[in-house]
Amino acid sequence: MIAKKVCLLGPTGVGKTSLVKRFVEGIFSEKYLTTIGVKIDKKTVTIDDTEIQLMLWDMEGTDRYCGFQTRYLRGAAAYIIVVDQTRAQTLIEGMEIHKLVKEECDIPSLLVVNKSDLDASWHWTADELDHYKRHFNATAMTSAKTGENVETMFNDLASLAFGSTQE
Amino acid sequence: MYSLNKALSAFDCAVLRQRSENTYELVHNNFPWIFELFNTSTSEASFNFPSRSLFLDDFIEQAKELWETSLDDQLNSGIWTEQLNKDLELHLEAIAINSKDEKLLVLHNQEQQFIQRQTTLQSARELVIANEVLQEQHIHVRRQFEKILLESRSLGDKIEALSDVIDHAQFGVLILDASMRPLLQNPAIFDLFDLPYEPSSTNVFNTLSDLARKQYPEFERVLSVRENWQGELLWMQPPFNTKWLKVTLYVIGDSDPDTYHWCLFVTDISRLKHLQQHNETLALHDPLTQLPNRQFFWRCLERFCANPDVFYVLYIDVNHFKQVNEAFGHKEGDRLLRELANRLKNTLKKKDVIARVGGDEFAIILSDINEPEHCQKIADRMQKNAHDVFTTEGDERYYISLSIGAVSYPNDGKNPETLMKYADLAAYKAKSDENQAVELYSSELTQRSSQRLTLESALRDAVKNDEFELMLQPILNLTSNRVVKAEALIRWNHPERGIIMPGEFIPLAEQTGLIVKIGKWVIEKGLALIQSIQSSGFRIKLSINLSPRQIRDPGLLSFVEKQLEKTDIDPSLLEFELTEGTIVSDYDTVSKLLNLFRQKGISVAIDDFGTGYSSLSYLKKLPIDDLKIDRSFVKDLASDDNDKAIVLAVLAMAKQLQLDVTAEGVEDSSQQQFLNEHDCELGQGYLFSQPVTFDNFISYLRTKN
Ligand SMILES: Nc1nc2c(ncn2[C@@H]2O[C@H](COP(=O)(O)OP(=O)(O)O)[C@@H](O)[C@H]2O)c(=O)[nH]1
Ligand SMILES: [Mg+2]
Repeated sequence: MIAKKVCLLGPTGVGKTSLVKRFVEGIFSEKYLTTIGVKIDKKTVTIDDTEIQLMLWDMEGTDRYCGFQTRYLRGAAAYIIVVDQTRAQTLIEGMEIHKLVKEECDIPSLLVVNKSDLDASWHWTADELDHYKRHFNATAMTSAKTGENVETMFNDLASLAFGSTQE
Repeated sequence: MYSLNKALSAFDCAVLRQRSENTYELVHNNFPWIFELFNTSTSEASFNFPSRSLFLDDFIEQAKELWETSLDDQLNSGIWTEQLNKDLELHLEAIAINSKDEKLLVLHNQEQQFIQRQTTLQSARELVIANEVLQEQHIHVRRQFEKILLESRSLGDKIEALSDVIDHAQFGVLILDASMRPLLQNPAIFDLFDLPYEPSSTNVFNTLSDLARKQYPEFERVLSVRENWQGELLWMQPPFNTKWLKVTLYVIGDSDPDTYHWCLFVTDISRLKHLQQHNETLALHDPLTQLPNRQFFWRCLERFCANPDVFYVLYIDVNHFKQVNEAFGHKEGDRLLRELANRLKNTLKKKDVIARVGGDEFAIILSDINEPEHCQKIADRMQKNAHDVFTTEGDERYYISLSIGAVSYPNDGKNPETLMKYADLAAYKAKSDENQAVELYSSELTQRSSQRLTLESALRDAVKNDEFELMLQPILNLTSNRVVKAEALIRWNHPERGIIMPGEFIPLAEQTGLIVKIGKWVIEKGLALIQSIQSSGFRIKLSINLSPRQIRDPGLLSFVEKQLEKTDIDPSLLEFELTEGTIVSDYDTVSKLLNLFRQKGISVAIDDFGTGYSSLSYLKKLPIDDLKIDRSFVKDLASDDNDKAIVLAVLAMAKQLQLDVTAEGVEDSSQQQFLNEHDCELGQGYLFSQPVTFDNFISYLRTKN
């Protein structure tokens, strides 16, 4: 079976760990437990009749207490930048992380706007969002809480990862 | 090996040595999970990759790269979490070591470090996130407020629309009218204080302002100058009820002083405070700068005040901090605070205390200092350190400065409240005076703040009674000596005090928002003067000053358009002057506005150039026509080499950007000669003429042109 490493990046508290939990275990918890270091989960998906084992690298959020760790990107086939639509600041920080990754490696990326079950209190207009989305191969609006779009998003991610290293 | 084993037995770790590429043998083991990790039995002495850990398999590839080199070095994996089965979660770290003839892999159980890091960061991050979400909601509600308040509908309609917004807000909201009477409050704010909801009761506001006055000595001044403010209040209701409340105060509708409102947002942050207090370092430390925080500083100050020993308290506010945040992002703002904290710390003695007491505010206790000169010297040094260039991660350079207020114990005050109140007042004074780096508190300051209130009410009357006058100062072409432009300068004819210069009342007008009305008067009057000059047979451009608050007034552009239409004046005869500070304070608004001016044919000059912090990259992007070199550089042009260099640099830069340059404050012919020689085209100053009345201006024109 083909195995693909994918990384979940983004600021703290946007729902990276929750997305993985929803996808792999089908559960969600309101309680926030901050991630320390790295944790890898795996799950098999089928893309065009091919089974792919996704290795999901969930990492400590990038913030003032934890810098961005490029070394964990090694061997990754794709990554997602997760942001939270109740905090405008997370999009700005997400874009900064995106820029840092781009300097490091050239692999497909997905922008995930999470917490779609909540009201978007941020002030980005559709136009401004489009402007940001253009820097990614694809985007998705998800909710780890309701599960909305989570499966689809990870499948898209798997396709991106699969496509990126296929000869 | 024996002693190594003994040393290592203190750690929960296993040491493996590479035998062949994927096979490792055990050198030391004090780590029972090693067999699980490699899925081997305990009798086994060798371990093969791949292991059961995806992370470790990934790491070993990097380790091999290190081992292939001959470097005596090591590589650290960082902490990872390994879920070995449903109930067994390990927190591990791997270290690859390359030493002369050994390739070693250490696996280390980091349970303790993991727990410690997680408990510390859990509350720290919850705080950051809660703050961000709160900020976001505040901005959201505030935008809606501003929209509603600026719309022209009846007060009743406005109140109804506002209620709709705040009834659903997730935090307490209180709106007060200009005289601090509650106009509207939501049920949530009564809940916070366990009070029954009574829409017109003043209980909540009274409680809040009492708490704020006691716990934040600067609060009174904040109200009197109408600043936005944020603080954390401790509310105690005997016997058991204690809450931490985060309070944010906004002034809304400030461009019209007659209809502005106060708006208070209140959130219960007790849970976060509780989390924070679990952890002594967090409770008294600012995690960003690693300095002590406000609570800690307060305790120290109380301790110092219990002793007779003299000391000074400094209150430091970073000028232009908001701009750095806006221009370069919050991350750079954070970096600035950390760097500045270090620079400040380096100027202190061991016994001194420094703390971060607010967003961009620091407080310092200078122990054993009695002489104002001595305090001044230290503060000067801080100012100097702060003036050194700051560099962003993207290598962009920028500068900041500080407003420093100083009070002495026991001369100026004997308790923490008084000392902090006066230090804040002094820092505030320092802020309004760009050239004053450090302001030492004097009783005059408290007097002055009451004089200020008198002046403010006189200024309100002045607007009503039309007590202003517009003077004109000619601007000459330095080669032809002909008048090509004039600057409009305002005077206030106070019925009792006589003439008051703009330097005295414009800052006050700016703070109170009266500037918007006064500014409109100036524009209207200025355009009338352009007409009169034209009818006297001259075509002279008029330059009018715009302040930051005028720029933020959303009605400015349409007002200018309407006036131009009404008077039918050629817009190319109108120029607006903005200071550098105005530009950097709100780049986006300014940039939009200036482009619209340019479209209309109105030109733009930058006033006081050289005193602010704008970088060349700012200027390049803005539609600017003229730079005015600040008088402070022109003054000592003949004798001061530094000033000479600055002026020459500005001239060179202007040439490159194809901007005109006007020298302000030209007072003697040697200055004119220097400017002439270096292609500075325009000048104004006493050498030619002081600001004069319209009639005198026309006579002057007749002699010159
Ligand atoms: N309402 C809502 N909350 C979410 C969602 N995803 C995550 N959360 C919550 O956000 C907080 C942070 O989630 P977490 O997955 O730990 O974020 P991480 O730091 O990016 O890994 C937790 O309290 C989650 O319950 C979502 O889609 N909707
Ligand atoms: Mg996480």
